[in-house]
Amino acid sequence: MTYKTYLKKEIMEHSRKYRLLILFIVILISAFSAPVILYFLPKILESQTNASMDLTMLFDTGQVPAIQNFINDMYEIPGILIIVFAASTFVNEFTKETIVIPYSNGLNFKAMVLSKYTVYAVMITGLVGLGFIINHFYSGIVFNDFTARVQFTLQAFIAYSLFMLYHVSIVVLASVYTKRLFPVISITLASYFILPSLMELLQIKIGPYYLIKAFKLGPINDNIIYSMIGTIVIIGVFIIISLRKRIDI
Amino acid sequence: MIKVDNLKKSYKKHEVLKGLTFHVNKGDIYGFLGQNGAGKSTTLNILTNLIAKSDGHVSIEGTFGYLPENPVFYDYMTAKEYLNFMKSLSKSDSNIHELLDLVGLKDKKRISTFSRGMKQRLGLASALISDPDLLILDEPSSALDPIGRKEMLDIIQTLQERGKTILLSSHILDDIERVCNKVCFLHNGFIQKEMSIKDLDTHTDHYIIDSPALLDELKTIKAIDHVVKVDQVYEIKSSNQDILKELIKHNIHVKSFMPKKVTLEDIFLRMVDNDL
Repeated sequence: MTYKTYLKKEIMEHSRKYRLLILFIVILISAFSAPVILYFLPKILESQTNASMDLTMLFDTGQVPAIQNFINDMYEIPGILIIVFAASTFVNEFTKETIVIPYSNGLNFKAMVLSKYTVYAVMITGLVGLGFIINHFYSGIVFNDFTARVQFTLQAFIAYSLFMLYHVSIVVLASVYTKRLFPVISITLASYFILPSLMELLQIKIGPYYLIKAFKLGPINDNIIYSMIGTIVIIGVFIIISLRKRIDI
Repeated sequence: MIKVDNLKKSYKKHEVLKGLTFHVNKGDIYGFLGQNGAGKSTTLNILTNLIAKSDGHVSIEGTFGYLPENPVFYDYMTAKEYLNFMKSLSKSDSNIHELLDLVGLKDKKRISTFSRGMKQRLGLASALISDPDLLILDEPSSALDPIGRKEMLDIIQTLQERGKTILLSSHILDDIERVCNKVCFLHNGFIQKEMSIKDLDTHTDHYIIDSPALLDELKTIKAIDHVVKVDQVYEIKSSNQDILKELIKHNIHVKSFMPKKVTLEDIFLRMVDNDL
């Protein structure tokens, strides 16, 4: 009962706090702006220079680079927003003590965490998926170029979604242990921005951080497939550890 | 209804509760008194499973509802939505409209616009959502204005009339004296005193006497521990229950003699003063 009740409550919270709307708008802007910017940037630069040179030669243009630009953009503001919203969703229950009354009325903490994770996972996967679909086809229309393979975009979408869901599971774990917003966001953003470079430096070719390789549109190797499976396992482990923590409110 | 035996709670090296023992019987409105920081909320949080105890035994018979000192809600909901959410969580079949009527909330506004008093009343309605046998209320009236306090105490009395047992924590002694039938004082990590409110009438060791006798005459009587003149009468303190006989025995002319009613505040202050 707690699970279903919290599912409804979480959907209401994301809607009424405009998180759903903000994420939708940010992803939509990224999806539409990436190909448009790539299309107009050479022309804008040309108009700024006196020499009559064709700058389009300096830029990779077309559907594939436009999708690539979108994925790069998704790693920035939308990615940070997804982490910050996830952190506030989980930590506010402790810091604002909204959990106290439900908990004293027999709230099942595990069901609550699971329902929060489910709603958030479905929400970000759905919105990110929508962004990828719009960007894939809109990029084709803008450049009148439909050479990008749907399979590669789909692979990038799955890798990006798993990478984000992995970071949401870090948020859950850190929330349960620290119960404070600042450490949760710091830990997760450190994992999001620093660890991928570190893993590359250490030439670790498996695990959640290796998923970034699949953000490049193209065929994927076995390591990426193992990394996808491994990430799902790690997400499960993080969630289980979070659920097993004895909570003192 | 509630049995607490030798309850202990420590935070690292700081021992907040050093062995609490008290029992609340069915039908009681039991006042749980103590200074700020005495450990009242800690005790209630242990009773309601919000935090773990360090040692001791706690048992609660039947179901309970809890109103925390600062109830916090999902403020994007309306009161009705929140109670429906709580109803669904606790699998109860309570009538939300009846609960809203009981606590005087009919507003369809979002909780974010509620005053402190409205939030306390919504908290009380949430505590009642599963129609519990026992209510645990932590400082339900401390942040309210006089009208809000009166309304809250009226609701608490109504609930007792409906058969609820209530454990009420507060440092507002007037409120406790008004609604409770039994109280205990938490101080220095222990229950220092447990008493019935009825005992306040027989608990006095202070008396008001109207007498033409001189102050110095009264001071010579050994049965009088302390005496002061207040306006035209004397206020005396004596642990001797037969103080009137003693006065007469010493040929003191007494025009009127009246035990001074002891308040919870007197007992509480004496207990704290003894510790200083």
